[in-house]
Formats: sequence, structure tokens, C-alpha cells
Amino acid sequence: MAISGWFIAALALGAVPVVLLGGWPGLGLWVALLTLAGVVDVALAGSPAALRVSREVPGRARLGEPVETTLLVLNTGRRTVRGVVRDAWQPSAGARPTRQRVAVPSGERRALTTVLTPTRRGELHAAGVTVRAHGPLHLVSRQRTLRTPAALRVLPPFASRRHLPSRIARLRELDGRTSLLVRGQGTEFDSLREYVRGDDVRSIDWRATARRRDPAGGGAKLVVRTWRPERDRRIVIVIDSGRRAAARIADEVRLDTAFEASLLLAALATRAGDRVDLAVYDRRVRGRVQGATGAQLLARMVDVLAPIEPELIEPDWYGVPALVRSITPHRALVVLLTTIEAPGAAQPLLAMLPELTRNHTVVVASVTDPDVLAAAAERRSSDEVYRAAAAERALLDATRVAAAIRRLGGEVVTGAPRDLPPALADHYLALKAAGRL
Amino acid sequence: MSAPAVAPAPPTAQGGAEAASEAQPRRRVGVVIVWVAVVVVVVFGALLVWAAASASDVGEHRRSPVDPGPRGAMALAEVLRAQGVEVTVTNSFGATASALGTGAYATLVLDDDWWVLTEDTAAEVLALGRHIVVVQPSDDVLAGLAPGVEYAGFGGGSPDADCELGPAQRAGRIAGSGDGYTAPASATACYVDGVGNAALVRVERGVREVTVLGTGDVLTNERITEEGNAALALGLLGEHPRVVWYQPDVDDYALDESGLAARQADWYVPLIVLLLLVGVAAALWRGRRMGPVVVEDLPVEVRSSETMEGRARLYERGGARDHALGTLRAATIARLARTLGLGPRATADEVIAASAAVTERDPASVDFLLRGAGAPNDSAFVGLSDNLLRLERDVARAVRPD
Repeated sequence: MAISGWFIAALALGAVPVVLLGGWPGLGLWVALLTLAGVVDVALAGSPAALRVSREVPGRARLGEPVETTLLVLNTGRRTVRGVVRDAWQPSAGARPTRQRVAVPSGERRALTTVLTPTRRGELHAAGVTVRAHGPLHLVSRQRTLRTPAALRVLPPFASRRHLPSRIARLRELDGRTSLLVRGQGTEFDSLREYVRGDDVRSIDWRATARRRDPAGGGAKLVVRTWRPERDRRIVIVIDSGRRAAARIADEVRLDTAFEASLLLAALATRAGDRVDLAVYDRRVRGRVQGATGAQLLARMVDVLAPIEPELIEPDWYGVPALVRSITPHRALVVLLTTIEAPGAAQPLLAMLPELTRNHTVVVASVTDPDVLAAAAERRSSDEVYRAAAAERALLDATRVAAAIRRLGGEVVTGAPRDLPPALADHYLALKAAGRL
Repeated sequence: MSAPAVAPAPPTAQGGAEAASEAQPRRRVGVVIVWVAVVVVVVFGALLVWAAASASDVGEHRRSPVDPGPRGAMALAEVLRAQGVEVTVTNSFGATASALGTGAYATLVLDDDWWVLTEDTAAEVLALGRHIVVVQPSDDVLAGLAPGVEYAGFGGGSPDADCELGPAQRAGRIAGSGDGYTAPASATACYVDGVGNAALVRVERGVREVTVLGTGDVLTNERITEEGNAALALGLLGEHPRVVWYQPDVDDYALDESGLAARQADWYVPLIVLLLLVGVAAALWRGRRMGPVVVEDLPVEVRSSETMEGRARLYERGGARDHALGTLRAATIARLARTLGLGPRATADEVIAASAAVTERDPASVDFLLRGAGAPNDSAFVGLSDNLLRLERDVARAVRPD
């Protein structure tokens, strides 16, 4: 039951009979009349309980892109239901419009479109559908909330994919398509081809040249060997979803930056023919992608990453070597996306690291805060100098931890939220070029 | 991280349906409990208001002839009735006028204890009766009914009658306090004190006689038995076979110039009630939600520079200038080592020597800046920090390839 503004207006109109009919009789008459009208209105209104609603919601959407969802309203009652429908989604779904007028005749079905513009990644849930059906007089309505659960998985935006084309171009230079003439560690034999002017003479394969000697007696055709970087290397990305990942830097949560970086790295590595596995871990594994390749890998990654939120707990680093072992027994590039801060807090990470570096190449990637850098340079008043001192302390601490990681055989990549994904991709390319995968 | 109050969303449609069918009856019970609580609160509140209203004396007249309490004057009215005097109690001008009729053989007691009447309306009251007793009048009423009699202050008059007025003579001494008046020579003044202030004054105005009684206590149930109070009261009010006891209510404030009470329209109260109903209905209209509020599981978000800010405030509050300066110097040395290409393992001595050489500064002054004394106060601290930045800038400029 709900009364409308018309009911209020009609009630206020009762001032006329009250004055004209002299007080109480006028009031009594009007209230009785209005009550009767209300009862009749409710009795004649279509029943919202007789409605059957169902939703058509696409399973996935990318963050920031509008999604159309459809609400189908079927009237199984005998009377036409006229009124207002509220298709309720949680606030971050950005549902528009929130109220829609509808008239569903008996036995018919109507489709209502709600456009969602999600403002947050993750699993967005629809609440009930509330129908307020008014009677022919528009005085009183019948209201009912119908439950139709639905969910939309909003995927991480992967904004850093704009860095992908340039990195893939660099990859091609390394890859077999632009073959190398210099043999290095981590390269494998690619092919033999004819010498062209400009090739390194040291790469001439004399034995092959001798075998290729032209029987027709023409000039000798020199043959060079080409090399290409090794393929089918393994990359294990471990994302720390512990308490430090909840911090917001330059309007982006650390965890989201880590997702961006891992998506870019995975997109690049799968193009390079390497195998990428992913685990999101704090004290237990929050998400895991294993054994996927090509386009399927990215699709599965965004799907797994979408609903993961930071947990306010300290990550258990001692479990990471076992986690990596469970993913691959072979040598791999292990990328730890975490936070390098105070030496005290990094103690478990540093204690665990040798166990990883013994078997794997380890890269620790961390987001730095541009605010801290800015604060360290800002020194106009004494307040700001104290802030600068605190900022310098934070930077020195991070530097010490990074130095400790390097001493233990790991490598460190840091960057502001916008810079970390390409920086990590570049580091991967450098490792690949050096044949250190 | 989800907020603890928010239940996790059902993973499947089936689970959702189960949860819904479970949640429904519980919500019904909750609604019933809320309504019962509302009813209990309303009833309790109404009882409380009623009790408070009945306990307080707001809205009741003093010396009311229908009030049996100590402040009332019901004893006097009852005694008058027992003596055969017809006592009519009125609260409005109209009722008083109709009860008095022509006004002959009737005493009009005007006890305007709320000071409702103005000078003009008091003059209209004067026209109603022949014999008027005014109890503790306001200045306006006094001016309207007994011009010439002036208010002289509270507590005036003496307890002894000492005058030629019959009732006062018979009563003798009275007890109680009240107002005192100065009377013109033509008036009869009783209970006159040393400075000439009287507690009882009778003025003749043509056919009318107006008696002003300053000692209102005389009439009250509490004091009427003391001294000659009862005799005075009965004497003043029992002179004629009828008494109209008029205590004006606030409505009589609106007596207009024509002498008619501004009669309240009979739709006045119903209209107010209608407006209240409209208000309640509007509240219900706006207060009715379109379905339940949808909750959002908000993720935990921490501002990352919080630690830094906190540490800065700690430094500042603790006056840890030396510690902060040490940090700034260490950071500068590290950056200088990087700028000068000395590598991470360079000692402070090497850095100092190199930067002094590059910038052509005195090595001792660079040493003092990077390792010297602390700052005695905040301004020196800021100055030192500026010097550190300047050194860094100079070194950077010196090593920059041109």
C-alpha cells in the first residue's frame, strides 16, 4: 500500500467542504468519501503479486562501459497492472533509469530496459524488482517487491592494453621474425639462410656453406645461421592481495594496478609463446589461472580477477614457494606483484626469497606513490620539511628493501600506478632479450 | 572485504530463492514488532502528557469559584449559595452579559487574573453591571473601571479596616497580602496604611459602584477562614441576591470595538484537524519507499600516504628535528652518490669530497652541511633543508653534460 500525491491533494481539497458545510460534518464527509475512493481504487488496481519478472543480463561487462539489461514483466493476473517499476541494482552498478512507468495488460509481457554503467569492478548484484500498481483513480497503490536475483561480473578495465602494440613490436624484433645473428644464452637455433650484405661475418656457417656449394660451378653461396629467443618459457605471476594491496595510490587501488600489470605482462608473454600462470594469494589462494593460452588466457584472467578485493590480513609469504612449486616444477620467471615498504614488514618476503631465487628468476614489482616523491621535494615551511623528512624516510626504507631483494638474487621493478605495467613489460622483454628466462 | 552487516550474496538463483523465502517471515515479524512498539510508545506518551497536564496548574484561573484547591475560591461560592445567593460562574464576555441581564440586583465579580482585558474592553465590562467588585485588577482594567484609582504597589494597605464601608467595618481585621491603591478624595478607601495606600477602594460612577479589592487572598480557600476574611468576602459579594463571577479567558482579548466577541468560526478546529491529516498523509506519501534499500559491499580502501603523514606529525609534535634532519641528510647523500655516479656503496666521505670538488665548494662546509650540528629551531631546520636542496641542485648542474 502506498498513497500518491493526488491523494494528498484530494485530502487538502477537503478544506472546501469543511468551510462550506461547517466544520465537523464536512470533515467527516470528506474523509469518508476519500476513504471509500481509496478502498475502491485499491480494489480495482492490478495486483503486483500476479506479476512474474525475469531478467536478461549479460554475464560480463568491462568497467566503465554501459551495459543494457532487460527486465521482462509478465502479468498472470486478471487485471491490467499500471504503475511504476523500480529495477533495483546495487548503487555502484549505476542503473538508469531507476523508475519506469509500465502498463502490462492481463496475460501479456513487457520488456523494460535498464542501462548499467558500472563504477566498480567485481560482482554486481541486482536487488528485487519493486512494482507499485495504482488504481484507476491514482489515489492509492499496491506495492510489492519481487525477488529476481541476477549478477553482472564487471571485469577489470585493462587500460594498459594501449601499451601492448609497441611492446609486441619490440617482441617481434627479438622473436624469430627478426632473427638474431648472435647466439646467446636462452636462444635456440632458428634457421639457415643465404648471406646478405650487412650480416655479421662471424655468423657464417662454413660447414653448411660447403655443403651448399653450387654444383653448376657458380660463385660460392655463403650461408648464415640465425637464432631466435627460446619459446615456451614459463611465467608465474603471484599477486599479493593482502592488506597493503588495499592502499589507494593516485586514485587507483594497488591491487588494481597489480591486475593491470599482470594483464599486460600476460598478453605480451602469451604473444611471445610463453606460458603464463597466475595466482592471487594472501593467506590462501584467492584466484588461480593455470594452463590457459592465447586469447583464452586473458579472458580467464579478467574473469578470475574481477571479483577479488584486497583482504585486510598480512600475506603469508612462506606459502609462496610451495604455491609456485604446485604451479610448475620447472624453472620459471616468478613475478611477485606486492609492495615494498618498511624493512620490518618486508622481513617474511626477504626470508622466503632465497628459496625462490635458487630455482627461478624472481622479479618483485611494486607500486610507488607519486605523492611521496612530491612530498619529499616540497620544503617551504617547517610543516612541509617534516613531511619531506617522513617522505624521505619512506623512500629510504623502500630503497633498502629493494637493495636487500637484489642482494638475495631477485630483481625489482617499481613505478607509479600508470608506469608500472609498461615498466614490468619492458623488464620482461629485457630478460627475454638477455635470454634469462 | 565485505561489511559485516551485509550478508554475502547468494551464489546461485536457487540459493537466492531459498534465502528470500526464509527472509520473508522474519521480516513480517520485524514489521509487527515495530508497529507494536510504535503503538506502545504513542499510548505511553499520551498518558504521560495527560498526567503532566493534569498535574500542572497551567490553564487554570487563580481564585476560581469552581476550584476546591487551596488557590481556589470554591468555599466562598458555596457559602454564598448556601446563603441563598445565586452564583453564576462565567468565562466569556457574552456569557457574562447574558447572565447579568439588566445588571440590577446583581454583583459582578471581575477577577481578571490573566490580565486579558484591555482598557477598552474593561470599559465595556463596566457597562454590563451596576455593582462591580474588581479583584486585583491590572492597570488597564483599573483605568477602564475606576479612573482616579492608581496602583501603588504590592503589599500596600494595613490589616485594619478603619473606614465607613459596611462590609469592611463588619469584617474588621483581615489577613493576606495584595495590591495597594491610591484613591481620589471622592472615593471610599479602606485598609489604608501609613502612606495613604488602600487595599479596598469603592468608587461611585453615576449609578454604578465599583469596588476594587487589592487583597485577593481574602477570597481563597486557603486564607478565607483567617481573621475577618470571610466576613469581608461575604459582605462584598453577598450584598445582592445574584453574583456573576467573571474570570475572562484569553478569547475575550479579542473583544472588538463593537463589543461583540470575535466568534470563532465553527470550521476553525476541523480545518486544523484536516491540515494535520494532510500533514500525516504527506509524511506517509513521501516516507513510503519504493522497495528496500539496496546495500553495497564496499571494499576496504586505505590512503597510502597515511603512514607518511602520521610519521610527519609525530616528528613535528615530538620536536624530532635532529632525527628528521638526519633522514633528509641521508637521502641527500644517497641522491648525491647516484648523481655523481659513485655507486650504492660509496661512503659519506667520498660523496662529500666529490661534491665539494664538483661544485668548487669548501669541503669543510659541505661536510658541515651533510654531517654537522643539528638545527636549534624550526627556522634553522628549514634553512638547512634549503641548503641541502641547493647543494643537490648545484651538483646536478655541475655534472650535467653541456
